[in-house]
Amino acid sequence: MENELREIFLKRQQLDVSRQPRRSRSYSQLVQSASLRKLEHPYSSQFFKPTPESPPEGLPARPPSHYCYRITSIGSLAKSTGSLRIKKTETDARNWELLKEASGRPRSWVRLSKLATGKLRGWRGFTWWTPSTLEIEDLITSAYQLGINNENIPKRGAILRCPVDHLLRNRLVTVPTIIEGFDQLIFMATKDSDKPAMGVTIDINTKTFSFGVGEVCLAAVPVAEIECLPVHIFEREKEPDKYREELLKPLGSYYDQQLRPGH
Amino acid sequence: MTNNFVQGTESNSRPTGYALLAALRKAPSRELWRFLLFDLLSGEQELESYLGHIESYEEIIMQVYDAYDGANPEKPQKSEDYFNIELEDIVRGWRPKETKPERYFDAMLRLISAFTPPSGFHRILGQMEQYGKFNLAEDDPEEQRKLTELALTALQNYYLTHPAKNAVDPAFKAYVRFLRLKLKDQELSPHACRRLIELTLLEVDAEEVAETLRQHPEELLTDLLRAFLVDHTSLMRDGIPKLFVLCLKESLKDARLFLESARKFGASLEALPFDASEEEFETPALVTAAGDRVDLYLPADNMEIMITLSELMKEDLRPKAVVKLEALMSSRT
Repeated sequence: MENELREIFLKRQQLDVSRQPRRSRSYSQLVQSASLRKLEHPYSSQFFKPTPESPPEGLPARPPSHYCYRITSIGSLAKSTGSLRIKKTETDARNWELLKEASGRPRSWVRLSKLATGKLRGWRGFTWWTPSTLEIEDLITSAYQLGINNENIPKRGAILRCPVDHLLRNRLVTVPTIIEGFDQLIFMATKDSDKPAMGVTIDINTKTFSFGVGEVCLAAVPVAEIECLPVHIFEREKEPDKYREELLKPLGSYYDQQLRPGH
Repeated sequence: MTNNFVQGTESNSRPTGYALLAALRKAPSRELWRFLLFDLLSGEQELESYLGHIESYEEIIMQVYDAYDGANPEKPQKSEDYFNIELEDIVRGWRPKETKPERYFDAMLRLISAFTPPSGFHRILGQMEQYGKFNLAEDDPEEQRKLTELALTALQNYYLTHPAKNAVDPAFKAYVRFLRLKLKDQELSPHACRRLIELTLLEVDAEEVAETLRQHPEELLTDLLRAFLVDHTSLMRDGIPKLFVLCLKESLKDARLFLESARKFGASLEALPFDASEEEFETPALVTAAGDRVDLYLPADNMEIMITLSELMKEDLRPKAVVKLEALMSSRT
């Protein structure tokens, strides 16, 4: 498995720098930092230090939708915001109950400011979102379209949505760069030369992976601008071949294919 | 297996990280669970990275046992049972007074809080009673505060409510004794007050609560209003009016803080505290986010409270109501 990860890292270095040459200097520094730390790849370590104030580096994105969406675990939601109803030091079970209670019956979107305070920040200072509508009835397929492997599809989670208007007005939405994607095992760099309106995911639904849906990075967003909907996903509903280990081979082949001329 | 393993003296080659998770999903055993718990506590690199995505020990563990138990409902041996046995074993062998890195204590306390293994309660309570903190390899007051909060939350999860009245429960008695002692603690008194009120062992208008309100108004009000409006809504109708009166008695600042804290949880003071047509002073109320109206029974003959209320309404509510209230007050004097 380590060998496969190392090979993927080598392929990714070629692919990433050829697609976003403007960032090759910062990227090389990251590669060097991995090598100094004797890491053969950045996919199994906390490569970056938590930097809550560091915004994403990409160009402004132009999502063609009313909302951007994100799938998150309840634990991540509690840790990425200030405590109010849901708290960082509470258990997932309790935080999850509070989210469900706030969402009511039948479930409806609830403003995150009812549950938490401050801004939603990822541990690196940004979070990953998609302008593509998530299928609530078939969330697993939607997650695979976003390139999320089974381990990262939460059992107790939430779908978040945030109006694109707010994101554009406040310049909070950017095209993901190879810097943000550096430690992401499943990541497709867009070409700078295409001047893309947003990033793109790798759809892992099929055996040979394919071009996925839109993807953007968001800087810290005020909780008042975010709505959330609780979701519960059973492990047995997930595809057995979508665990991380099983994805390494098809992922390697996909990166190979992208490295061929014409892509 | 002995607890030596937990101390990190075992060096057998074995699966780690994602491979360990895969092994547990396919064929769980007590040994594999022990490996996983050990790795979570010691911060094994791959699991740490995974935690960075999913952010929760609970989520990792539940995903793993659900994968097997959900796929094999007919099997009498549940992966979840193996996990619970191993967690209990590890917690029983844990010596909380030992010096460890912050992440170790964080992981241990979160595991105990989420899964409440029987030994966890005594381990944490003993440490908190005797030392009041954990011995961090690198002392950091902020981290120490977080660990204390995690420890208090874990203890709370063993006794969310008062156990059956007639049950003899020495652990509960020890917990109550601990909380009563902490009523006088500089930092922990808001938590102790709130917990004793939740367990119906302390009245909201008790002197201990008033004293804590003087020392830590913001923490106490946020904690208590969260309890009344979110966690223990059965205490709302009795607790909220008493707390509001207590605040009015103490100071205008506290009354204002009460309303600010209530607003954070979606509740606000009803804006019409008198009936204009009848020219009668009506009972003010706090209206919750869910639309419940909690009457705030005020002792109308207590002039100080009425003055504080009128001051409060000058800022917050309709001027007419204030004029009426002031007229009412002057007619009484």
